[in-house]
Amino acid sequence: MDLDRFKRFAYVLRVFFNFLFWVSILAATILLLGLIGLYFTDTVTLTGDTGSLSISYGPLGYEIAPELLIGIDATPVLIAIALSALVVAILAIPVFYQLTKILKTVEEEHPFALENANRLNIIGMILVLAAFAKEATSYYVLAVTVGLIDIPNLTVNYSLVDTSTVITGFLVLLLASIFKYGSYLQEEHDSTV
Amino acid sequence: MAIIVRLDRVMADRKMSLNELATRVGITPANLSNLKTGKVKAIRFSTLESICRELECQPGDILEYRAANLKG
Repeated sequence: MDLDRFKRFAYVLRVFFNFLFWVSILAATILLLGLIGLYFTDTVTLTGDTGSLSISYGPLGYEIAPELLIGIDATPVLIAIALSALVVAILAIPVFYQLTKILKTVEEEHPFALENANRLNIIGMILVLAAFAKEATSYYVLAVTVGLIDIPNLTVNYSLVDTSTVITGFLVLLLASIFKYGSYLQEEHDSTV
Repeated sequence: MAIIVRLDRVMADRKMSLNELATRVGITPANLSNLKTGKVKAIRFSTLESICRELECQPGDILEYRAANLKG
């Protein structure tokens, strides 16, 4: 891949991540306002004709019978969903921001800068944190939903960490240390005539 | 630094300007200026060879070792 095509690819990715960055900010703002709204709302009672509710986690899906939903105050479930989504959006904002900054340096042909090593460090640490947060928020939403509707013979188990996300986080941290060494080599190269 | 670059002296002897030497050696005037003022960390053998060829001198005419003054 020649340098111009690589830079164009970096530009496209940067535009995409920049879009996701603003979407995350917008989502976080809406969710925060929604949470404030739910705080001041007395109850959100389900009537049965408001549609169906299904719980899904991974490949498993469970359709809740509409008669089980009638008369239930759904406020705790809505708060749990909004709070979980808010945590995800808040964690995503710095990740997308740092990614756009990294891609900008790729476009400007100096990717091996010490700042990029620090940016990758931030992304790696957030991903490790997100690996715990993902499981915790999923457990919270499912536990509240199952507890509220009282579905027979269904329990929610807590898993401490999402393995794939935590491995990705550690790989990014490893990449950060490689970039740190890369920035040292770049500096040596730049100060050699 | 203990290595002193004497490029300015040799260039003055040969009456060669910085821009002219940079063009002949094939490096930017900014880089040659950094070399002349001792702001670079290292010099490639190929660059040193080109400078010596253009200035008709030896590496020892350009680079000089001076023991650093250690206080204590």
